[in-house]
Amino acid sequence: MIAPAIFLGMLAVVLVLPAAHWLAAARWTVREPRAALVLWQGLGLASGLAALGAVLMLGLSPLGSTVGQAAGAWLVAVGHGDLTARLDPIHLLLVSLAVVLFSRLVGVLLMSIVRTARTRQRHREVVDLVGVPYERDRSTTVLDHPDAVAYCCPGVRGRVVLTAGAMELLDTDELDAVLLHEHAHLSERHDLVVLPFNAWTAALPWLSAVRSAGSAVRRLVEMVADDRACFGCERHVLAAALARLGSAARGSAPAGSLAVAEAAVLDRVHRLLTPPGRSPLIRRFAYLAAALMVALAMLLPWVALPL
Amino acid sequence: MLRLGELERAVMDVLWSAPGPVTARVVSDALSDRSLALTTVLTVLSRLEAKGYVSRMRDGRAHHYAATATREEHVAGLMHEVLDTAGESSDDRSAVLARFVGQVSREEAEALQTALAEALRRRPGGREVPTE
Repeated sequence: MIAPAIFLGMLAVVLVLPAAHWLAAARWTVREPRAALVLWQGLGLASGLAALGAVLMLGLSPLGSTVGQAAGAWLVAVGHGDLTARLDPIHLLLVSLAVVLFSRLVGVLLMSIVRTARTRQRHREVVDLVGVPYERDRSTTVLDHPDAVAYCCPGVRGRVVLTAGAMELLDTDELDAVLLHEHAHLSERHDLVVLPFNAWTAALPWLSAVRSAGSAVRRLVEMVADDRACFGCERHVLAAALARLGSAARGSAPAGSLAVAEAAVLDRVHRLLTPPGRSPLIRRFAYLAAALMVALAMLLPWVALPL
Repeated sequence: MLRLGELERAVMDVLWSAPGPVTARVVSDALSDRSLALTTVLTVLSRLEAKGYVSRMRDGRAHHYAATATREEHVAGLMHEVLDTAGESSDDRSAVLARFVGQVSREEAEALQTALAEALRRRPGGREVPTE
């Protein structure tokens, strides 16, 4: 299984390097943000699986022609009291590398899930203690603070939070549009979409592709929530709300701290004012590509190819 | 019967409006319109103490309770968590809370004003653009 291993390894490299950069820079993503998100998720999952699969297959290659066969052979050897299945040090090292890589990716993800859940729970607890319910939407909490801010604290019992400053700045239609946007984040659990990208940015800080994937995903999630909100409000009302809150946020940004994901407010406003044409073709192609790469990375280690 | 969360809010409201540390009896008297048993108030107070929102001090034979932070301090803490994206843990923060709009630069704010004027032109009856 050397040849499929090398193919998988190349797939991983292509997905992480050129493909991720291409997708991060692609202009069509503003037309079909939801399909782009799915493609990012597919790309992330497929590149991880492909990298792991390649290393594991190279390591196990002396034991069989598929990962399943090799693992079976190893189990039989362990049953006979031979823990290493007579693998030489290089192959053993490759297998250990795959195990370490896998545990690191999964471990970081689990830790990040626990840590975010704890921080959010605490935040929600304080919001519930000090905030007052918004009279026009009881699932929203108002904080008495002059800064104009709207945000959501996601989770099983998520909260949408507005400040008194935001209520002062926006009229009721604009407030409703903002609430629709935030409720879209909560009901579609966008936090779960973003979470693995954040976790793996922390796990692989030297991989710039992971970082740019993270900021692209955060930007796309905002567009998806904008689109969802627009089912319940006028596009230019949401655009006005965004522009007002954005202008009000000026000054809170220290010089040089402008993150890429946050630089997108203006793009979002323009996108709402002049909506780009949707493209069913791109959409279908993105879904197909995502499914294909995940299927390839997932199945290749388990099937014997006549190579 | 009130939900536990609302009871906690009510008890914190009493502590925040009290001039200093108070006994559980004072809290329960302040909430007399809800006709809570003293033991209920004590339970809520000890829950709040376990979560770190309330501190308990002994004064002779009676326990006195006080909020560990004012309401304003709590709100300021929340806003700090939401707005502080420039800190070291920026990735963690953005993972925890999704803000409607992030921080913007001066140039972007000016461009946003232009865009706002455009949005309002298309929407009769909208509020005027704030002038500075």
